[in-house]
Amino acid sequence: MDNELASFITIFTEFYYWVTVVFMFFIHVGFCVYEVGASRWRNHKHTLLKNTMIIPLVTVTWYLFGWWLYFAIPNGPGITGPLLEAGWATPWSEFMGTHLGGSTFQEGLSVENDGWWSRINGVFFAAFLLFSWTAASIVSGACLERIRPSAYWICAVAIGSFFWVIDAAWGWHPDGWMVQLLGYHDAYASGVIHAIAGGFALGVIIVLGPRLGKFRADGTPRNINPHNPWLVTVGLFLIFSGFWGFYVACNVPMIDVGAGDGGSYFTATNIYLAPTTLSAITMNFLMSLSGGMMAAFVVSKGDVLWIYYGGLAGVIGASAGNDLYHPIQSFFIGMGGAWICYKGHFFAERVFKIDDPLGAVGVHGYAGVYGLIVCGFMLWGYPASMNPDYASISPIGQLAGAAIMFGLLGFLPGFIIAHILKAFGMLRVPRGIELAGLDLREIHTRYNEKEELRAALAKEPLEDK
Amino acid sequence: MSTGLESWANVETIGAAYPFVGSEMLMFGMLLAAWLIWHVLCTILENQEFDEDISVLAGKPLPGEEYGDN
Repeated sequence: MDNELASFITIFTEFYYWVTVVFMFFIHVGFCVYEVGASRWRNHKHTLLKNTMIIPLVTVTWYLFGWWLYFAIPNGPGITGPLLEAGWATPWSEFMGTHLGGSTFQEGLSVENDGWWSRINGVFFAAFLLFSWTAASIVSGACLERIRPSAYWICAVAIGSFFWVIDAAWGWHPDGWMVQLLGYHDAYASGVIHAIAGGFALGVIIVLGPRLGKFRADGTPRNINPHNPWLVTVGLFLIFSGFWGFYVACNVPMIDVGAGDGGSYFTATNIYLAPTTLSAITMNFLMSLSGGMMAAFVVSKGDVLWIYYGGLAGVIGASAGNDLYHPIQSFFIGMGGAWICYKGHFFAERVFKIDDPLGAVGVHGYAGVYGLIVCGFMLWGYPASMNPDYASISPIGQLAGAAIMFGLLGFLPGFIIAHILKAFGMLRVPRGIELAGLDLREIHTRYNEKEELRAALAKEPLEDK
Repeated sequence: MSTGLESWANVETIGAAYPFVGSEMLMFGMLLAAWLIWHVLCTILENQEFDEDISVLAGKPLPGEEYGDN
């Protein structure tokens, strides 16, 4: 930190990621508000509890192993190379605490790392952690009102601190094996966050089953509306707000990517350290959001909640290539994301009896897969990395990437973990409690006398107020 | 007595500045144990809560009623 330019870039980058973390916190606030608004009155507190506890659980496990995994396994390991050294990211690293970049005492840390990682480690850790919370929260909405919180928290740790990190190391690291061999490109996480979380959610809810009363005896679905659409609206707008931070956190603000004549060329880059601009991604975010909302208006015939979902699906559908698309391309790709999301959601509900209360699989899973595949065609032949030896972007590479994200690292682990939890009787709340409401204990605490309590229970309606 | 840093002189040479440098592995073990124990405790508490709820729904005695202290 004795050089003015290096100090400026390091401290600016430190502050930049810190700001993204604060913005991304809105995503989690939004998910909490949104899920409470969508749940029925008798499940409010458990819904809030389930989502709130993501914060400490995924944070602690991200500290214990998630952060290290991202840097250690870009090669597979064993696909393009061995397990990598990542001394700054181990949970016992001195760079996890206050460190001024001076002398180090642990093995695996170098003098070259000291100035950079001592400053950046914590904020970079936090930016990735907020992605992890998001992945876990996406699954939360799909399991609404029927999963045991303890079971959900195991799922949250699995997706938030383990499986999504594997896909991030493979497909979101500048030297990940998917980038090297497949030319995988996913600049703003259509697959890395959204498709994997949507796939995981689908795997869990297939085993979990629908909410009681969701389907009639003849198999036709009932529409269980949110108890408070205004709370849902506020929650979704908070998620939109946080999404800005999410996009910015996927960039590196200022690095020297090198000019062709061997000189310096300073620019913002995407997560693969390839050049882009904040202006471009801002424009494309807005246009894909707009395309998604407009398409959702048409396909849902003006259902305002689906317009919000469609806006998210529009952004997610365009996110894989939003570092390079033209804004008008983003707009139309966003329209496709919303259409796929809406049609896919109701097709799965009608044909396979999938109860996905908040459309999480549609918004994140189907739109995420669509976004990856579209990117393969739109950016066909583009370099996936600054390294000229790596594969270029192609439809086949993106299709393979989508299968890995949604299927191999998303759906399959979710399905298996849910089966294991079910085998131990730990997955779903007992039927009587689901009918009466998960917040039954709140009724206990409001009434002191047993006669009073039982009288109150007898009056408590089992259906919506 | 000092748990770590004693002076800001020669700041460019200062590395780890938190107290008890050298105990990182021990702290890691404590955090790992806290996380795992938490999952066990929350499952136990949840089972107790659900058992109690089911008793209430079934019209059985509430916790403590059998001792006459409700």
